[in-house]
Amino acid sequence: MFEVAIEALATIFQPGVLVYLISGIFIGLLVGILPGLGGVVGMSILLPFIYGMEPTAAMGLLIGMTAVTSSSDTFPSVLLGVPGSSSAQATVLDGYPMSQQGRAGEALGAAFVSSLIGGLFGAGIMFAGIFIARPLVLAFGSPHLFMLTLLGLSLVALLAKGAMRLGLFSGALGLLLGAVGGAPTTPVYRFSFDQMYLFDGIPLAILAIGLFAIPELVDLIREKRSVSSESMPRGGLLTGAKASIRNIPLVMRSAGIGSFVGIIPGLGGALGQWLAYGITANTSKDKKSYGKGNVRGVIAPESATNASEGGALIPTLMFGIPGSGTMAVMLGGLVLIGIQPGPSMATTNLSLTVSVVWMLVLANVVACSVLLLLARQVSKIAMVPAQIFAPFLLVILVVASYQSTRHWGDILALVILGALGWLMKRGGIPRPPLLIGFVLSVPAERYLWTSIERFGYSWIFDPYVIVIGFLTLLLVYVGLRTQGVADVGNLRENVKKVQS
Amino acid sequence: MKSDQNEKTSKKNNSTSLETPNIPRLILLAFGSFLFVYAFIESQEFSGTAGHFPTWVSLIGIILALSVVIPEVARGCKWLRKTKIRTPKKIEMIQSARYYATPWLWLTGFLIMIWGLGVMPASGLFVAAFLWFEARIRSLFWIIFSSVVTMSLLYYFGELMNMEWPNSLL
Repeated sequence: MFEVAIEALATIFQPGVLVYLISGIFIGLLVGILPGLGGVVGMSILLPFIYGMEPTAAMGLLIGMTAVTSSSDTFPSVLLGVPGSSSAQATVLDGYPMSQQGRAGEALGAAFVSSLIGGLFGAGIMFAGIFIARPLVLAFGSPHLFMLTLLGLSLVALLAKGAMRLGLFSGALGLLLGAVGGAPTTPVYRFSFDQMYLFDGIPLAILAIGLFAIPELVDLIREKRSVSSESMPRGGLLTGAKASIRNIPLVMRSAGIGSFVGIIPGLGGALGQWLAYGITANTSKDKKSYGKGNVRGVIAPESATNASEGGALIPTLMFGIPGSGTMAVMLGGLVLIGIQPGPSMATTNLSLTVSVVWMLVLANVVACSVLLLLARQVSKIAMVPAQIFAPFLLVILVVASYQSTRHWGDILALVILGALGWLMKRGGIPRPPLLIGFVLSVPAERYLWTSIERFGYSWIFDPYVIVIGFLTLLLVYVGLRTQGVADVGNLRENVKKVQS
Repeated sequence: MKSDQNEKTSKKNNSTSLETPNIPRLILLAFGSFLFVYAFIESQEFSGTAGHFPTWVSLIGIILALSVVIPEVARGCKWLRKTKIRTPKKIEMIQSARYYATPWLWLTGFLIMIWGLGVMPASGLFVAAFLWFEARIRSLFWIIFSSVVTMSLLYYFGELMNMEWPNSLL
């Protein structure tokens, strides 16, 4: 166990890997700071460029970006009262009032240090999770992995904000779009309309950019968001950092909640932060001070969000079940660089899996140091109005999309999928299940085919298959009965109140 | 007591029925339903095992689509029956369509420019035009500077990462 850890540590300090990891960290910091963008947008932009890269270097780029987005998206939450991404919503509740009281530095200092500790905690959970899940992963065959893909998809649909039926509809659409192109079992081209561009299927990067980045960009242009011209006041960072250290039991408890929530597909950092915030506010003696600038209201969600990244990587890497849109893009990225998530991550690629833990550690340490040292300078980026950076972002998105297959079809597909993503956003149809369905489509079909080829239909009576199947049906039943998960308390409404 | 409850129920029903239908959702659900039906029919033509997976997925998709489309359409019909669309509402709708179309027009314009001029000049021109018309920046220096920086960065990263650009008319 420790030999693998040391071997993995040596891997990430190779110059080729370290450069990409650091690049990923800086891209992640930038993506997080710009309001409205998030990990999934950043990941989608990077995806076309990682094709053909050395696996560890490509992982460094992707992990570096993912790990720090949730640290840097605190800037818009605290300074502007606008969540940088969905994983920074709860921070607005107390972060923004602190900023209005002239304590922005304190809020940011507390957020960065709690993010760091949360991130390290998440990395520790991931390290332990790899070795705990290893025997289970190795015991699983194709029938179990097929059932797990169904379970993962049901979970994501169940936990989609809004009605579960819409989530399932979205997931089914993703599975269908994933079936476009050559069939994995026989030499047949499906739904390709005799277009050579579609013979290899729809490129994942185009789908991810279209579904997530284009709708955000369109809304950025449309909303003409007014941005405060005041930058961050001097001082207070150290006070905030000390507050995090003083509240270490709270940081650890919130990080624990975040990690646990992150492991369960579909829950993700967004719910983890709300749970951590809700528990902290409700168990506190001075409940009334929350929402009015209590530093503990910043510490709890920030540590939970960053810790959830480590947790979310366990099902993604070990079982091939992405729990969120970001993880789905990462899963697709792994396939692009020739790594098949699942049992191989616990055997032949174990060193690579463990190296991800070190990447998380390093990314969090670097991000926290950079943010603490350059907070005032970095905060100015958050003040850039959306109208200014939108044209540059559009150029990047179009150029990045074209690198997928270097065909005009990439650009046409980008527009069509962008319109689809935008309509989904406007129509309140959850987008992550579509992306996850798309990513899981080919493995699900392959696992199903392998199971039938090897075991006929007898695999259906395997005890593990029955248990997972029962769990899936139970979740779907519960989801349909409750029509999706209600927002945690009415905390999301509170964000709107704070913003207004 | 019972009449109070009835009143509450009727108020609740009225508020639900008067809720404006979500047009993008309806469009998408209709499109999705069509897609699933088409995929189901097409899947029957695939030879061997290639048709099994899409057949099942499209069948499940059709059931799910129907379970969502029917209540949505019923809600929309109820809304149409109970709401008289006033002329100002139509004007509002046109204004709203223009408001939503603007970003898409910028995107389409940029793609047409790429097709006509190539990525590099199109990007420079697009950034300049956007900053002038949309962001209302009136400093020529900053506009020219932004365009030149965009083109230079594209060139630099294109060379560094061996990127390719789409073919254009020029």
